Amino acid sequence: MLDLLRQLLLGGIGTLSFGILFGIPRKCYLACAATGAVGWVTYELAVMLGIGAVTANLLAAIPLTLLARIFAITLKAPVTVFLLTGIFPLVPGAGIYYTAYYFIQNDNLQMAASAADTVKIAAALAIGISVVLGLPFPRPKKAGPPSTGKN
Amino acid sequence: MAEERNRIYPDGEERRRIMDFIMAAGQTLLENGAEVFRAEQTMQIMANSLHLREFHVYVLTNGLFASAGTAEISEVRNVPDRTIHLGRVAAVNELSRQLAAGRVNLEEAEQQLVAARRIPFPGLAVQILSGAGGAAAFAMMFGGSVLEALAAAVAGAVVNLYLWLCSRLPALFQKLTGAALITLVCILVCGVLGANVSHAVIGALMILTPGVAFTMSIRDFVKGDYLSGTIRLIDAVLVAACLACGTGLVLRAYTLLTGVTVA
Repeated sequence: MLDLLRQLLLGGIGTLSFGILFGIPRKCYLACAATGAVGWVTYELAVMLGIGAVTANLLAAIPLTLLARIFAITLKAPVTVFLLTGIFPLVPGAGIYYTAYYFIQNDNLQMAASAADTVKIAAALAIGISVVLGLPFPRPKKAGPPSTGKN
Repeated sequence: MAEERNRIYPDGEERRRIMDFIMAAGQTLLENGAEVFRAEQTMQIMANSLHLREFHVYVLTNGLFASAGTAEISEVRNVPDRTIHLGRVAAVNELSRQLAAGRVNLEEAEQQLVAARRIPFPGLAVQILSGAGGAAAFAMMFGGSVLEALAAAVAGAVVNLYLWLCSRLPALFQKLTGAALITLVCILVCGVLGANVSHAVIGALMILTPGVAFTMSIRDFVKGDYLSGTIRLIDAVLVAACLACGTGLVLRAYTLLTGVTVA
């Protein structure tokens, strides 16, 4: 439990740091940190329960994208802002690096293994994100100009 | 002229101006890390709001093609350099909302777009600090201890300073040398602290790794945009290869010089 709390904090700090490097608007700082932290904790929790890394990523992408969509509506910012920063802890940045590293080290077995993992994780994330983004979402009730269809 | 403005459908020069504006908006989105379909969608919405008839647009990761009317106006824009600045993406998005709501006219929209394109990147001190914070957090998320996080933070700060100093150099060269620099700093700091090099290196390398680009490319594939996905995929693979060469070079040199294998 304590470990999860620590991971929550780490995920938030990591996401926020990279969010700032990506130049996100100031009003989105907390929301981005929350999105990233929730995604990362979901992943950690799933791994703790003995679920494989690929499925864990797929599971983590769901609350992450939902949260990103909710923030996009409440803060009136494009979903990209929260999504791109929020998935930062989950994306297989290390995996793709290790693949290239084993490749230049001539370690073909390790390379194939990490390449397969990288592709599977990225595909799981992409599918998770696409599914949740494709879900119909109730429009905010507030009367106003018609939605532009972007959220 | 005033009469023309009052008509719903713009004509002649006005149409050309609207087209220029929409292309500039799309270019801004693409240059600053928005997805291909978002740029497409936003441009379409802007064209609808400004009553530009028969507007068609095709967007790739590195270029925009659009025509209006029976192709009497058509424009192509090349977008070779792309960074991520989500503040600008958010600003253009806000602009498109305001246009759709009819709260701004073309003149104001053009000014707002120029302002959005000029939103600065965070200052050097902020970049160094957030680089250090991010690297430390990721070193610990990958299972490192506080010592390794410290080494990663130093490397993250150094590499962000380095990236800021040589922002004019080609992107791939920046990645290669940046990765080499990270490895070097991590080896040195970890040597002093007695920490594990590999956790520190991967934590700091997260600043440069193309994980987001890779995932977004798969997302383009899932959306059915195979060409944009391929462009992004090759981009990501090239960057990863550069990173690996950078770190590999330093690790090999270190082994040759000292006879000790690290990481």
